[in-house]
Amino acid sequence: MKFLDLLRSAIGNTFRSKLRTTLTVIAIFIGAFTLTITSAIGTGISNYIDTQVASIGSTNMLTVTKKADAPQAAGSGPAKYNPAQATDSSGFDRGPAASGAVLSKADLTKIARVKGITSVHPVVQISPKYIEYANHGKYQMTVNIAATFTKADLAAGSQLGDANTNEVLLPTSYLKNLGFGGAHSAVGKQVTIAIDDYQGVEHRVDATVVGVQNTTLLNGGVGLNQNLTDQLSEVQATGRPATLAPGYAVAMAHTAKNPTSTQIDAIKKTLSAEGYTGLTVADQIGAFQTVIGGIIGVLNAFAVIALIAAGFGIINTLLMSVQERTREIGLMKAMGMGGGKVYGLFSMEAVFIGFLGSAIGAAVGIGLGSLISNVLSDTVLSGLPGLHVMQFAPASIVTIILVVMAIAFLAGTLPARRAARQNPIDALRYE
Amino acid sequence: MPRDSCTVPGAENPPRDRGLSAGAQNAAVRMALHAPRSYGAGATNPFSRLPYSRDDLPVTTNPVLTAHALHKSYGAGESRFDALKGVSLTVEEGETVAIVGKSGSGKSTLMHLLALLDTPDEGELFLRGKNARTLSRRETNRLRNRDFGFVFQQFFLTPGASVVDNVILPLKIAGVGSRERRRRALEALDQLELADKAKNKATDLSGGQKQRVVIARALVNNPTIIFADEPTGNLDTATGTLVEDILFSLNERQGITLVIVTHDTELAERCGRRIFIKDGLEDPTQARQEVES
Repeated sequence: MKFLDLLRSAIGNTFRSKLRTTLTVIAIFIGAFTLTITSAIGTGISNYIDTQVASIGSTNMLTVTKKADAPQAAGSGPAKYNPAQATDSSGFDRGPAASGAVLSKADLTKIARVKGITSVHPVVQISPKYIEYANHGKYQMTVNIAATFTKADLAAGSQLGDANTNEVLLPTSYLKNLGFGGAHSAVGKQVTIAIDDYQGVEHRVDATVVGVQNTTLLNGGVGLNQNLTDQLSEVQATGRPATLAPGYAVAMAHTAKNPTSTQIDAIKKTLSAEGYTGLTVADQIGAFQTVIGGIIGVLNAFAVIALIAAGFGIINTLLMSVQERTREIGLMKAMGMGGGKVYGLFSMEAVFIGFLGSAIGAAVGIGLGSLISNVLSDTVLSGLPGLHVMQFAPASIVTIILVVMAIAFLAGTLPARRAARQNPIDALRYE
Repeated sequence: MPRDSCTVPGAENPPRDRGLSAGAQNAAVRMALHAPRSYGAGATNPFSRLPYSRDDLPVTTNPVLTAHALHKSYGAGESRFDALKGVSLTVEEGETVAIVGKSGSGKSTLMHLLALLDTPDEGELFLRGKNARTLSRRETNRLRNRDFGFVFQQFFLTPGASVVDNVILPLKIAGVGSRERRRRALEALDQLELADKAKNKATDLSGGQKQRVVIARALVNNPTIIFADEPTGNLDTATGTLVEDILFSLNERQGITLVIVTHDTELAERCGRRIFIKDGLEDPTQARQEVES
């Protein structure tokens, strides 16, 4: 029997008992559909994160924190007090200073001396009171601390620069309240930021709007350039008691442009030896991706369990089919059909059922998923432009179909073997 | 000359005869077309056709099947049942042989062994002088597919499939191309005057028509022997006779050897030779009575 004839007969046979085939196909459909959707969510979210990471652009940056002090072994009592240890003063409205795990000025110089690091800036928390444009009213503002080292997704204007002028980057959501007509009309305008110093005296600092950015996952507030940040931080620290040693929770360390991963690894290793933790932006987002990957993995596992259950459905369907067609198998064997061909006939039938279920499942998954994804993008997730919850990668769809067909083939092994081993005489005598 | 003693339908059945004459001519062409067959490296076809016409054959024996002391039992221990206890026989080419016996006598088992559907526990079987035990599984399958035709009492037609698809089955197994096998199947159906039923479902036919489809299926691969197990068992007398006529004319016109298993004495009488089986052995008394009568 030729392969094509065998395949055609197998396909024909699956449609002989339509109800039974349909029910088995539905079982596989459910598994394949779930797998398609979950893998699409995985692709969609990780693609979104990838574009976010790409928008960050500069890889020559590390967030440096001090390693937490080694926890005291239980029962050994509290650690000895170290008066030289800095406390966090980066914040303005801080509570009682939390000691430990804070970078002091000495730490910063130590970090700056690490081979490969070109400069270190402590991350200072700026707490402005309000922002105002002309006489359009005062509005609360939050500062986007990541603004200096990320590339904003611009609606108008340009990125923040290293100039010695004060520059701000406004999110699109601020425009209407502040009294701007649109993104383009806001660019180049002068805004005023008010901030209190240590004594509670209000200072006003002027800055120019250089650009307007779309709202994204990472960039939430108003972006300030380094010059403006330094100025506001200086204003904020006015009147601070000289005895209070300044300390910072986080510092940003720059390296030479476009460092290789081995260079980054070397820097991280040195920092670690010195008692600091250095993380690149990719590291931090990578952790996020790992969590999402884990969730998707669990969902996929459920889908695979559904598919394995469906595999037993295939076994059952084919066993019934073999039972019903005992005489037919006997006849074919009597007419000189080899056991291998009979085996092939039944396992191809199993594979075809698997293909049918997975192809329909994938097709419906793609259709329904695209629809839901588009609706979500336009409504609930409209605040996150560029996010498509589900993205269907052809490679993963093909993989799903092939995996399901492989499961179906394995499921078909038992019935196909039973059919292949039948003795033509016993099969023909079978009542 | 066993063939001559066969009752063959001739002029007394003119309408069917016309169809068969046409079919017989076709068959002759087909035999010429499909004579060379490859039997795989190193294997010889024990049924390779002789270069001269069958009618020129001298009276000398030319056995297609030779069986020596065939034993076959089923089960083991207490439930052991000896179906055959040493049967020997020879079937000549072009012969019509009836294997006669009551149900449970072992006649079906004997046919299964002769048709290579089963293997004997003891004894030897020779196909044109070649020991069946030396045939590989593949060779056995090829033999059953190309040289044997099967007609069963219960028809064993695939329900739901069309008549022509049922007839095609042996050719499909043989790996014949779809156009070619369709042509041959329609030819075989035409020979049995069923061409107009080709597209009908096999299950929608009457008993006699079904058995004719089965014969077409047995015939389609141009076999040298047809094994028929109670071919008329499920048919009424009139249609049964019709089916018998067809089988015997195949023997007459195409030289196909017939091995018919039956308990129907009338059918057995029409055959050139009868082998009586009783309790797993050849029954000599029956055979002697026959000679005396």
